[in-house]
Amino acid sequence: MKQKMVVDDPVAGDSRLGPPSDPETLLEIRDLHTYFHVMDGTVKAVDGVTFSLKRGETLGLVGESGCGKSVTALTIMQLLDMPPGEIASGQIWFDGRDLLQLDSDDMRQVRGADIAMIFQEPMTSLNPVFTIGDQISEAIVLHQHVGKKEAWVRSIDALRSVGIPAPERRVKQYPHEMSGGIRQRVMIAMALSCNPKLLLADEPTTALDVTIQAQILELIKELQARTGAALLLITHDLAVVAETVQNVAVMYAGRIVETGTVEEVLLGPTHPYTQGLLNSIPALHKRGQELDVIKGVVPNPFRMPPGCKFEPRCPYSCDLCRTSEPELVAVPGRKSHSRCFLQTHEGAARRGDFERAAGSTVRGVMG
Amino acid sequence: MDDDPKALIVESPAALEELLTEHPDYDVQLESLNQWQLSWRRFKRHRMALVGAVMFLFMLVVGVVGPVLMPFDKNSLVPLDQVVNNGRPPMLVPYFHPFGETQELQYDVLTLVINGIGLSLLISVLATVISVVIGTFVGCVAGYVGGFLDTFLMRIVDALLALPLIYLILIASRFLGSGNWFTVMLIFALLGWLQTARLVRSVMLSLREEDYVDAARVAGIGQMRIIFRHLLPNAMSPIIVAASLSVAGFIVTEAFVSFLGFGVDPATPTLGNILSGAQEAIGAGNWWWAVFPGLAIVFIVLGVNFMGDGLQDALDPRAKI
Repeated sequence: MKQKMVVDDPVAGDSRLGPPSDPETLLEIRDLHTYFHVMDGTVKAVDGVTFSLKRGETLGLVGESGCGKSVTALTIMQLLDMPPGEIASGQIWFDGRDLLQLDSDDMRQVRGADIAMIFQEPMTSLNPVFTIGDQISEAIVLHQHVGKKEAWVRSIDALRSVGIPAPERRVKQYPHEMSGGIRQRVMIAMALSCNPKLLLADEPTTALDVTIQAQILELIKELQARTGAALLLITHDLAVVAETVQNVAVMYAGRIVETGTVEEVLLGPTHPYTQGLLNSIPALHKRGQELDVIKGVVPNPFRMPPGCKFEPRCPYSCDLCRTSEPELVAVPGRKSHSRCFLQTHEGAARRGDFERAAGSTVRGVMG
Repeated sequence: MDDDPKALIVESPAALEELLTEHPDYDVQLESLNQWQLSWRRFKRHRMALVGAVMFLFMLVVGVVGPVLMPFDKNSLVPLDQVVNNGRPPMLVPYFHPFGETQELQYDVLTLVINGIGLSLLISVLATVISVVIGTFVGCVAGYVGGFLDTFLMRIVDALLALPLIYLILIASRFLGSGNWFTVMLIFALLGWLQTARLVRSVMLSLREEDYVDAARVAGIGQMRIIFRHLLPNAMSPIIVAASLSVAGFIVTEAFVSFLGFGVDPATPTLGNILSGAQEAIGAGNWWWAVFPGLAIVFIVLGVNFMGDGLQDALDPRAKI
């Protein structure tokens, strides 16, 4: 059996040395590996992630819990506790610099000023002993080199820009006086107060109730468009992705299994995992039917399958999948990429079989 | 801004209610209270704490103002016509000795006690301040930074804690020369920070996992600033409680050490020295020499402990007003 695969790398060939050639590329992550060394062994939380983000572009990173999406964001920010964490290899090119080569002082300048981040838990992300004005203006004083008074005025403006009523009053209040939705707005105001080039949003709406979720997403989208910052949105909620971003990357077991535009990936998923995710969304036309699920569980991080990481749960798996791991390859006739043998030359025949058998394949669940 | 929002902020819910019934169209809101203001509200409702605070403040005032009004002079001698070898019992007339006189030299016990309170409080409060500052610094750094630094600092603390404090103090005061109150205070301070360091470290260990620490790091704020500006205020409540109780602890330790003769120069009135001098007088029926300084110690320690208890409740962020 032919083990070696013909690979065409989504990130242009041999650009592994030096910054990305396209000046429009804001963030380019190359073959990133982040490991956690724990008592039972090593967890490869991020295991060869590669993607890039243009200026002003919005990318959604989706996947189930533990697939490495948050760790990817924390690695970009270098907020991991090391040890047990370790950035084993890879490059994170941001605006012409490899963040992994920066010393801690330079990295601190990048944080907050060039890359900002919004967290999942607005209830606990604000320091209870300071007024929100203190907290927002602290970052402004630090990065914009202005006086305290000017920073205070700018914090009021920042609060106004995220749609908080009576910002002159709110700015003097403490976090415990605010609801979760308002606090998340404050977090967004804080993140955008220094005009970052990249905004990382790690499950920004998960802790909020549904009506507020929509408002916050709308706000993030609107501010992203207004400020021109690129957005990396991390979520497990495909509906959020569908509404908010242009491109999407699906992660499974520490690696990206499918990337493409939102339309391509959500309307015509090419990786069996993405197909399974989309099938497991409850839908109106499936009332009364049993919900489709992806059978099996995420593989034990200490005993990853030798071949394709999704193979044990995949309805289309074959011998090749069990022994060797597919690369992220361009899907024929499309702009998206997929980490599946069915999309390679070898798998094309098998794909044909499945498609004939299923009649119309699983494509089109959303449409 | 066309209106001053301050004008429409009221302090209590009752005032808010009243204003809104009179002028339902007003845009009023409650004043924002920070944690200290909220804690002060809770503290005010804690009766024993208020009593304790008043007791402690009273002793503090006595200790600060008293020695100025009634300075102790060890060269003062009683006039010949008043010599009573065993000292006179408490009396107001004809001679003003509300706490009586000591044996032999016939010092006024009130004067001694007032000066003793002053010096004992000076020693214990200063020792507390210094030990809390050292302990907080060590605990903060060890708890937040973790890793090797944490292990290193905490093993030092463990090693020092393994030695019995009282013997260390006895040995230290023997070699560093007892007598000077400042030396004694310094010995107390340098050996007293261990518990504070442990306490603060444990608080920091849990605080560093808070989401707002990540939020601060994401904003590019430096490590030292996160520790001392963002986390320390959150760790203040246990530190304040521990500090208040450590004042009481040092008062008792001072009395103990001085009683054994290893403290401040015996001719200087500290509460411990006064008690130490009174030992043999009790047998001769001179009970007042020992009782009044003893009561002063009880009064201070009780006051501080009540206050510490109230602070603990008041500073607990989970407590409701």
